[in-house]
Amino acid sequence: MSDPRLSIEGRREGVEEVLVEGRPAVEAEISAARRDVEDALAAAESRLAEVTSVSPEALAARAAVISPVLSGAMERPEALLNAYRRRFGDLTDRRLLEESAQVVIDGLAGSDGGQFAQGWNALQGELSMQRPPEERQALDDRAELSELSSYLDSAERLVRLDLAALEPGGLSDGQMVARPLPEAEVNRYESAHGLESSQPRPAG
Amino acid sequence: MTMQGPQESPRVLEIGQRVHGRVRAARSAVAALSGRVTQDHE
Repeated sequence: MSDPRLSIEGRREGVEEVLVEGRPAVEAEISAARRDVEDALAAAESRLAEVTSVSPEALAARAAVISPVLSGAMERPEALLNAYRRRFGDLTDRRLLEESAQVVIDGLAGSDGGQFAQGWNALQGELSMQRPPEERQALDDRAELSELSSYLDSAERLVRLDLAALEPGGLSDGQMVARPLPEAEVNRYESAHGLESSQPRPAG
Repeated sequence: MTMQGPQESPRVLEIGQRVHGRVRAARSAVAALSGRVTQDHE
């Protein structure tokens, strides 16, 4: 009769051999997907910068004209909202007012900045359809790619946990508790985008 | 005036499908490894 300890050790080695052999193919798919997303995100950022580009000279000239609103923004942030609504169609003014609003949100953080930020975000949402089509396209692409990047983060976590589960020690309690979250995120993304589930079907 | 917003561009759609394909391939490879590990245990 064989020594069971040898048999257990042999199985452990067999499992490790299988994983060492198979892991690179899994890693290669995830790395290639990561490169695809990063390249596309960089291209989307670049496209957005291109369609919202304003020369420093134009910004400086308009900053001088709308300086009453910009300089009083901390004391009267509602003036920023009014000016933003009225001047939304002018890219240069819009850029200046957006930068000022961000300064106000940061400056009022912890006091009533939350209320201003809420009003500001609501107004931006309301006016977003007035952005030129190429700008909306660039923003939509960037948002979609950010979501794709989050999907890939979740898929990578899930794949790593599933690989860890095959190790002789299996998953720790913490890893088992952690697994449902990335799995739910992966399922949610695939379902929302009408994609076939990436969950492999059981053999048989 | 139509208020329909633009959808993601065909290029972004294509990248999404490609990434999804890679995720599927990675998960299938893990499942195949799982099958081999199970076989080794039997």
